[in-house]
Order: sequence, then C-alpha cells, then structure tokens
Amino acid sequence: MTVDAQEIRQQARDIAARVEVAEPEQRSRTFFDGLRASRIPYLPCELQEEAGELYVRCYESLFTLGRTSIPLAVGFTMHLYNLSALATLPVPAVPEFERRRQILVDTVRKYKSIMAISSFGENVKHKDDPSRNVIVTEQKAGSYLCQGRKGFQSMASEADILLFNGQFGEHQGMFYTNIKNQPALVLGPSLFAGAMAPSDTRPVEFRDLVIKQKNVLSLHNDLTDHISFYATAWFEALCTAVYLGGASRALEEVRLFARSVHTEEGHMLAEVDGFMVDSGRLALRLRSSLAMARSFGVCADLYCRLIREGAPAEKVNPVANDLMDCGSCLKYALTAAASDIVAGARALIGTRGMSVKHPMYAINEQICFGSMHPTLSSRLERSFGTEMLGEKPYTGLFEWALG
Amino acid sequence: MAADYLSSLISSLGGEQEGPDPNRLEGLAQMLRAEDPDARDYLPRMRARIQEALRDRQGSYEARRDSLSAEVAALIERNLGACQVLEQTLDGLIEEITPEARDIFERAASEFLETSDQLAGMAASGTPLCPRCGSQGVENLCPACELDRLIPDPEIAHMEYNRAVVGEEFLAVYQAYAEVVEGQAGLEPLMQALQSLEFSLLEAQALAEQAAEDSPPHQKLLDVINEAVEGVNRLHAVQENRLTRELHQGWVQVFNAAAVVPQLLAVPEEFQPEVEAEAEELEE
Repeated sequence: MTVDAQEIRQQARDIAARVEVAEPEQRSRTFFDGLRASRIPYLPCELQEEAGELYVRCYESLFTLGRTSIPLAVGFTMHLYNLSALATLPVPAVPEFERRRQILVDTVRKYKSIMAISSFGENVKHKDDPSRNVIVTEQKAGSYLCQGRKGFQSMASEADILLFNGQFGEHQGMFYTNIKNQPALVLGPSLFAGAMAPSDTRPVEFRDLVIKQKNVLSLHNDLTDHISFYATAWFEALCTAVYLGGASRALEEVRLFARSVHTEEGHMLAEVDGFMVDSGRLALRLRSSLAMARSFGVCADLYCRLIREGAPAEKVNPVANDLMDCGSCLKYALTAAASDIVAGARALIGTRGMSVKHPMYAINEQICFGSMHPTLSSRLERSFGTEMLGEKPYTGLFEWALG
Repeated sequence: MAADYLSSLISSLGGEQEGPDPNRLEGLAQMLRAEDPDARDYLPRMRARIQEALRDRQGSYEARRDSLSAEVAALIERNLGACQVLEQTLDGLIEEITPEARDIFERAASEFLETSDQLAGMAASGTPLCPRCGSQGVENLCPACELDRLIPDPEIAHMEYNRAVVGEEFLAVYQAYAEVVEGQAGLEPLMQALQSLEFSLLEAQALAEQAAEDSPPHQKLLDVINEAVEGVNRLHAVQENRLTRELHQGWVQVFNAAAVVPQLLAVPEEFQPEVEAEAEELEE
C-alpha cells in the first residue's frame, strides 16, 4: 500500500492554513475537523507494513502542523504515535493481541476516531505518597474494574478512544475504552494555561470504569513493556517534528523581520552579513536536525521487517535496542535544537517578537515543553552514561545504519 | 417530525381508478360538478375522513411546529388550512349542495391535493432533510438544529414493535438510532455506540470463526454475528448515503442478532444488565 505523499503534504498544509486564519477560540475545532476529514490521522492504518514510509509521512505532517500550533500538534502526536505503534508492531507470539490491535486499528480508520493515551502514572511524587496509578481488578471472567487516576492526558475533550495502562496484580496491563460519553471517566481541569492550553491536557479519574475482555490488549509485563517501549520510541521521534516545526516557524518570522527592516544606511537587514551568518547558523541547526530525524524511520522499518520475517532474537534484539536509542537520541537532541533555534530567533527579532500578538510570543512559551516530554533528558544522560562507562568497549555506532 | 405527518398523508391517498372515485376528493368533486345524485351518499364519509385526518395531522403538527423550518411549517399550515375549509364545506354540502359551496370545495380540494403532493414530494425527493425542522440544504448538518440531514424513507407504511432482551451495547445503539430517527440527535452518538458494539462483534466473530470449523452450532452463530456486522455496516454507511431506509434496515439486522450474540462474548451476566429494547421492525 502506498500513499500519495503530495496529497498528504497538501492536506497538512491546508489544515495549517485554515488554523492560521481561524479565530483563537475556533482554532482547535478547525484543527481537528480538518484532521478528521483528511487521511493524516489514519496513515498508520494504511501503512501498517511500511513503518519507514509511515514515519516520514507522519513526521512531515506534524512538522507542518507544528509550524502553526505547537500545542494542537503535540496533542495530535499522541494519536499518531499510539496508532503507529499499534498498527506496525507485529507480535506473532500473542495472537489475541494481534487480533485486538487489528480490530482497534481497523475500527479507528472506519469510524475516523482519534485516540488519546493516559500518562503512565505519576512519575514525580513524594516517596511516601501512595501510587495513584490506575488499578485494574478482574471482577468475573472477562470483566475488569478500573479505579485510580492518570495525571496527564492530552486531547482530553477531543479523543474518542483512550488507551491506558494499569496495575493488574503484579503486572502492568494495557487497555482501551471509548472515552466520549463515558461517565466513569472524569476529566479534571486543564493543567496548562497560556500558550500550551490548546493541548487540552487534563488529569483523568477512573471511577469504577468497567471494561470487557475485548478491551484488554495486554495483562502481562512482558507484552506491555514490549508495546510501551516501542510506542515510546515512536513518541520520542515524532514529537520532535512538532517542536522543529515551531523552530521552523520562528525562522520564518526571522526572515519576515529581516526583509522588512532596514539599517540606518538603508540596507535590508537580510543583506547584512552578520545577520545572515547568525540566521544561517540557526537554519543549519534546523536542517541538520531534520536530516537526523530521518534515521528513526529506517530503523523502525528494519525492526518491523525482521519481526515479520521471523528473524532470530540475536538479530532482532540489537535493532530493537537501537530503535529505542534512536528515538531517545532524537528527542534529546532535536528538542534542544528547537529550543536553541527559537532562542536564537528571539535574539535576532528582538522586542517586537515579544508582543502578545506576534507568533514568536507563543512559540517562546511553548518550545521549552519539548525537552520535558518523556523520556526526560537527565534520565537519558544517566542511562547513556552508564552504558558508555560499562565493562564493554564503547563505540556508539548504530551498526544497522553505519556499521 | 414532518415524516409522521407526511407518511400519514401519503397513506391516506389512494390510487387511480376508472370513473370518478367518490372515496377520493377529486372524484367527489367531479361527481358534485356533474350533479351526480350519488355524490350525496359519500359526503358524510368523506367528512369523517377529513375530520380524522385533520385531527391527527394537527396534533402531529402542534407537537412539532416550533422545531419545523419556516418553509415546511408554511406548507403544512396551507395543507391544514385547506383541510379545515374542506371540513366546513362538507358540513354545508351535507345540508345543501349549492354552486358556491361546490366551488369552495373544489378550490380547497385542489389546494389540499397540491400541498399534499408538495409534502409527499419532499418526502420522496431523495433530498436530505433535517429530521427535526425539515429543512433542505447543501450541508450535511442542519445549521439551525445541528442534526444530520437524512433522506426520508417514504416506504415506511407500518411499524411493528418487537421485544427482546439485549446487551447494553445493543441497547446503546438502539437508543442512539431512535434519537436520530426522532430528530433528537445527530449521527455522531450513533457512530460512537456502533463502534463500541463493533469491537464486541468483531471479537465474537473471531472467536466464532475459530470454533466454527468443526461445529455447526458455532457456524450458525457465526452467521448471526456476520448478519449483525452487516447491519452495523449499513448503519455506519448512513454517514455517506444519508438514507433513513438504511438506518431502519441496518437496525433490524442488528436487532435480529442482538439476542444471540452476547452469549458468545463471555461476559458474566452480572456485568451485562438485562434490558429490554423495542425494535422497530419494518414490514416490507
């Protein structure tokens, strides 16, 4: 199955253009109505066996949408990364999961649904505080009761289906449910004010939500971790598209500024060598980041192909590890790059970029969220440091790509 | 809704026959014009029919007049006005047949039939109408009512109510379906309910397929599930084809499977509240 890249590109541009001119209170509606009418949310359903192509199309779409609205595009990333992970990850050893994920993928496409995911519990809490993760207990065969709370859920009001994990005995399980008109799921107030408010991120209380066997994707740590790690890698890679989109928009604002402002000598700022060099440094950073971003799709494609072909574990596992690292590296480097680019753009434009109505004003506030997404940079630094300083010689090479 | 009014209107009009038919307004008017003495015998019966029709339609209209579009309301009021004139004129004609009363009767009958044809034409035109206000337009959603415009089903002649104990997901689909038909809600809640049901049906379908290979009872069950899935597909397709007829027939297919499918889902009865749903089954 192939998709017309130009068609997808144009759809993303059209949505971005409509959001750009929409009244502030209509932007979210315009964004999601446009998306649901497009093929973009359902690309994972169309490209199930082409993880590389899927990644590229998703990345470009999110980049384009991120240029217009970082918070809306970040919210939508939750849908794309989850669905991409579920659609492309084969788990032939667990046919029940295979069946249910396929049903989910097919019906998401048929009903033009949007999926949200609840955060994996409360990562930051006092050591004495009890876990407030969702607890899932089996009531009778095939029926489960879910109680607890999730701290962060984007697109809370827009999503149709909620994917969530929960503690099931000694294991982490993975489940889904319809979220709209679901009285057992109670959304809290929006967590972010200001420029990130449109991400519609809220806590969600599970008040005796009853789900059925059909809603269970996993009841065991092994499978849940397998899916979660893979999905997290997709998230880490894809979320960078949004923030680089924001950085790209900041550079466009620099261009507009540089071509509208003249020096006292009458030179257009865009022709002043120093300004040109400073701008070029930022553009190089953006282009380098985008070049780097491509790597995840290649690795994901390889990984999924190896599993589909039934490759032995000794061949699959190193690629799986590299895929996780690839996502982490992209998230670590590219969200930092996006932040640096915006800081550079802010310095070039100066105070007029701090006007509330100037696009730079919101971008300044939003761009710092990139590095705060999981996996946190400090955690990555510790993990990579531990590996580098371990007993085995360290090269850092991705052998599937450059070996 | 206008459809109730329209359906009763359509069903009340009979077919053509040779010579003036005194059971029809045009036939009776022709007989009066020809001063046929037999016409007098048919006047009380026609008055009774007109009175009954007026009472039914007026009641139906009063209940919904506030929600109807101005265009549809005006048309129905013209129709009801003609009906009232017919009733009054028939009263007079029963007492005495005068040329003036006969002329008024002919004009009122003409007005009644013309507006009836227009209303029937709306119902059968194939143009999506708002199920609440009856408005037409290029948008799928009626801007005033925010309901999905649907193509009415002029074939509905009789509704038969069947009862069955069904699972909560079937009931949710029925409730959402009924709200669409009654002009109380759009298609979106129906699609949500359908998606939830489809998750269950596809799960059941997969299990039944596994079991059906060597088991005729499971094969039968699989057939029922497939029927329900087809019904779901028909209901889902209404988003595109806008056909109320498909809504009804899709629901009938789903309902027919509703009593059988939950048995396969391995859901304990404690968690599957037994509820009664009424299925509107079309007599075809």
